[in-house]
Amino acid sequence: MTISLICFFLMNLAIYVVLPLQTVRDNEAVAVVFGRTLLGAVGALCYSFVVSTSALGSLNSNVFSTGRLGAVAAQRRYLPAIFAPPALSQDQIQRENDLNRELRHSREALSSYHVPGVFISVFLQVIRSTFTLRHKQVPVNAMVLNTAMASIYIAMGTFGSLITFIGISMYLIYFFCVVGIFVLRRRESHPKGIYVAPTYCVICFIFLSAFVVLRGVASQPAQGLAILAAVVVGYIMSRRIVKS
Amino acid sequence: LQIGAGIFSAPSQISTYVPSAGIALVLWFVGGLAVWTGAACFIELGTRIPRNGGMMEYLVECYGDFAGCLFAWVWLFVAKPSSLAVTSGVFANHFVGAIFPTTERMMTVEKCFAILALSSITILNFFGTMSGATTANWFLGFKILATISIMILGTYAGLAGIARGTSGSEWFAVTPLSTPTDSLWDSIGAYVTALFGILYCYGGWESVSNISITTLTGRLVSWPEKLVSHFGHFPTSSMSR
Repeated sequence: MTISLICFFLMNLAIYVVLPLQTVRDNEAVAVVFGRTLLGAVGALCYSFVVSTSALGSLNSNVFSTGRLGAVAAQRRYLPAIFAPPALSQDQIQRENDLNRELRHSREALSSYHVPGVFISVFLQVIRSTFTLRHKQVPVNAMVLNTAMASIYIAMGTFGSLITFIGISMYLIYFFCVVGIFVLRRRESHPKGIYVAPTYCVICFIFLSAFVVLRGVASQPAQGLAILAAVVVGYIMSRRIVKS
Repeated sequence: LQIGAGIFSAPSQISTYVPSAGIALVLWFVGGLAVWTGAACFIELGTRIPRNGGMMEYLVECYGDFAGCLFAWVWLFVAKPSSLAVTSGVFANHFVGAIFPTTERMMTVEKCFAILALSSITILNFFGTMSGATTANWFLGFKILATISIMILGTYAGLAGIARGTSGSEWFAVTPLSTPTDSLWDSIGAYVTALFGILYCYGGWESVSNISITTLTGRLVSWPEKLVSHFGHFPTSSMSR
């Protein structure tokens, strides 16, 4: 981690040494411009290739792990059951029954929300076709959900706006995680064999995360509202789920 | 393991919100400190709640079941998908840029390519063909290659005198922003927006606690030693998207 911090710092230093600030501002593909400035068209092409490949790699490792997280959340009943892997069974008839039960439940749930019939039948078809894959513990539905949500964000957002959106939502979560340290310390002060973070670190992070979230929302109120809406809907859902 | 490409696009976004290159570098340092303190906190959480599941488990333990549900909701509908969207966008920007190097940016084409790439990767992952440590290591190698080559080339250019960028007293010379920042409040707002870009590049540090469970169990060491030893072992790759 220390190595990463130093590497990123030095890399930025190198970029600013080679390119004027205004050039960095105007070109989102900074590495490509960097390559073109020093090595010409070949350099630009090399950096395009390397960066796009590593972006693909990042997608590849994130798509599956996010899907898994969705499946875990569904197993805990935080998300609808169709996102969880179905119960393992080797028996063909048993599987058929599982699938039919799932289809019936989904249809009932959807019609109770007055979803139009066309959408219901498309949705049921998706469930049916992914059932086999989900049987192999591949979190297909959760991955599809992720990709669908991400596609909406791709269509609507830009690099800059999405970065702020991510920052506000993630640091909101980190804030509550780290405040939780005090909750845990009060509950059981210092059990044996536990690493205790220095209190100034904890307080420092709490203040910093609260500050960036609040200032971020102040400069991007629309994004703040969108996240607030997600939290409120999530809260209502969670109350219903925890109750049932 | 997270390997990413945000670091190759974020410098542009960050520079848009800072008046000078020097301030950008200061902000990189501040972001590093924030991540460092955050990682210390998450190591404590990880040793107090040594279960597989990360933040979802922490929040359930601290505030109850509804908090875990709320986390899953925000993480899976807001944070993660937009993160995937950014990475797809970086891919599309560089891919389309390589095909049409001379023309203006074509946002619609890029967005189509981004969605196409993400969908293809998702479908490939249905069959598990691309998962596994070997593939991940290859991609990671590419990223390290790019980062280190920029550092080396930058040093060379600086020494050889062919660099056209910032030098000498220019490091803190003000180049005005496109949006006015008259008051202190506005400047702080711009700095926070820049900081979001930096924090995005450092993303992935919260998983530090997942590693701490396996490597740090039961051994009481003074905290600086623990942080140093721990962070020393922490792979570069885990640090960024």
